[in-house]
Amino acid sequence: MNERGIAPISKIDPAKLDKNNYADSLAAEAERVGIFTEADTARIRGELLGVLGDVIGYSSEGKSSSVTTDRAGQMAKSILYNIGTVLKSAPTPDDAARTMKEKPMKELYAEGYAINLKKWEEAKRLWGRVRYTRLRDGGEDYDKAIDKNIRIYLRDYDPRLSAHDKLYLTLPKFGIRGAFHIGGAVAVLNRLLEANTGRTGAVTDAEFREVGEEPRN
Amino acid sequence: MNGLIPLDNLSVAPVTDEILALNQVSAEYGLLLTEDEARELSETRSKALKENDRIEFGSETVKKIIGRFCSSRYLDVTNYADVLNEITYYFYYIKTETGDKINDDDLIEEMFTRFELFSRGDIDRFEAKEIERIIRKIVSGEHYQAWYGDDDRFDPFSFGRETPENLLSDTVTETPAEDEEGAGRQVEAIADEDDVDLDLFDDFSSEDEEDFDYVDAGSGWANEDDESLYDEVGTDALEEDDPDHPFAGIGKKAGQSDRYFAPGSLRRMAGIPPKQTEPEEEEDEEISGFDLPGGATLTVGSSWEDVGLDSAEDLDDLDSLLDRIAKLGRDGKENGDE
Repeated sequence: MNERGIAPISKIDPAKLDKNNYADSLAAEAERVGIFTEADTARIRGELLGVLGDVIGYSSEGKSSSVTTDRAGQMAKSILYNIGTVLKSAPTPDDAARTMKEKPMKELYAEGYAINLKKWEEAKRLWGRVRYTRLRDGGEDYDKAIDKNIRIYLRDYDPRLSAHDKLYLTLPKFGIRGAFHIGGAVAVLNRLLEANTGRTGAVTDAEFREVGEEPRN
Repeated sequence: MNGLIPLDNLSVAPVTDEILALNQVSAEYGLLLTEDEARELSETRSKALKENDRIEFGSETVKKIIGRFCSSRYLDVTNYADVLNEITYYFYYIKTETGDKINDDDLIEEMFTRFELFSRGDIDRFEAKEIERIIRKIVSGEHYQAWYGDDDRFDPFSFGRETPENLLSDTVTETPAEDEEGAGRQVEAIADEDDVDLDLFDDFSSEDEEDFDYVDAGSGWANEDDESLYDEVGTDALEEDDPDHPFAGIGKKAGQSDRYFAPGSLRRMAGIPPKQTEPEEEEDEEISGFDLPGGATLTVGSSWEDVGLDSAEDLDDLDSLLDRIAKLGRDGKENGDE
């Protein structure tokens, strides 16, 4: 909104943005509507390749300079997810595009990495509390979700190399079903903790709408 | 695939300049890559990355390979570029096959060891045997010795270099001949082989053959058929004391006789009857005898009366006398007597 209370006309169509691949779809839309020039796109691509090289070096602790294409693809997705985490927090898609145009990719990546790292730490803390307060009659799926699905997801999650990894969970009894990124995993754990302790208000429905279906009431 | 990071269409940047810069390192060993060879090596790297589904930023790998292999004793200007191409290609192959279980430095070192010690610089052998062994070793990890140790023992017929862990002795593959004639046939068989060429340096040509006494590969002697030359002990051979004898004066020491061999020894060895010669005149010399108790002296030619015996039949007395002689010693004195 500007000073007169009028929302600026967004050039970018939000419907064309993929929330699972936000940075890539935003760049494509920005170039389509003219916010990005070809030079901007080329610069962004070059900077992202540099970030990819750094991540490859990090993954091998500097001992290997080459990786398989599959592994590099996973790293590329992780990089773009971290950058997308920062861009999603912008007020509008146009602001996100301008942020992407003005800021270096390495800086956006570092910001997104810090956000997802914090979410990961929070998820691990919540999981500990869920285990501590688990229901005795939660059911087999409930126990499996806590002891296996969530545990393995948090164990293997790496905000640098696999920030885009999803938690796949189905607990109809608790209104949880779908695939969740790390932010959604935090919301799932809050929902379980709420069910365990009887406290309400810890989780909002919006946090469940990252990926997958709406949670059932 | 992501549009901002298009890995599918990502082209591998050539690293020709970086490779050429390493000539400063390899020049120490007399090895240099031309611009064409460097370009070829860069293309080999790109091809290897693509075929093994890998991507790489920078040229660290090929730099490390050049830096390590240029010190190989088996590389020279004729095979330097070829070996580097092969090693670079198989480096990425092994990395993918082993699932990146080994880092770059360790893999390069392992490849160098296998190339240098086990393959002895033979890139074909390295390719045929050592690639798979390296992969098995990396994938097996701590179980390698138990699972594949027997297969990876040092092969004595692999012409690998001897190491303290596997000292070798020469092995004889041919059955030795039972006699001298058989050994000679073996030698002739080798000489008759068409691929035996003693004229390795083309010193002898067909035009000059008439001017040279051609050296047959069999014996090395021009007159091998002349058996008389080997008849050192023939009837016409020189006597040992002949000054023209080949051993005349050999091994003579101060005070030593001119005779190298004992008189007549060669004749005896050849089975020839000893030559009838006049006995040498012996110089008269004073011969001392045994002093017997009582003042008598037993010498050669002494009569029985001289030693106190009436006749030779007194054998018992003679025996006791001889015993006393043995006990008394040369000077005829009792042991302990002054």
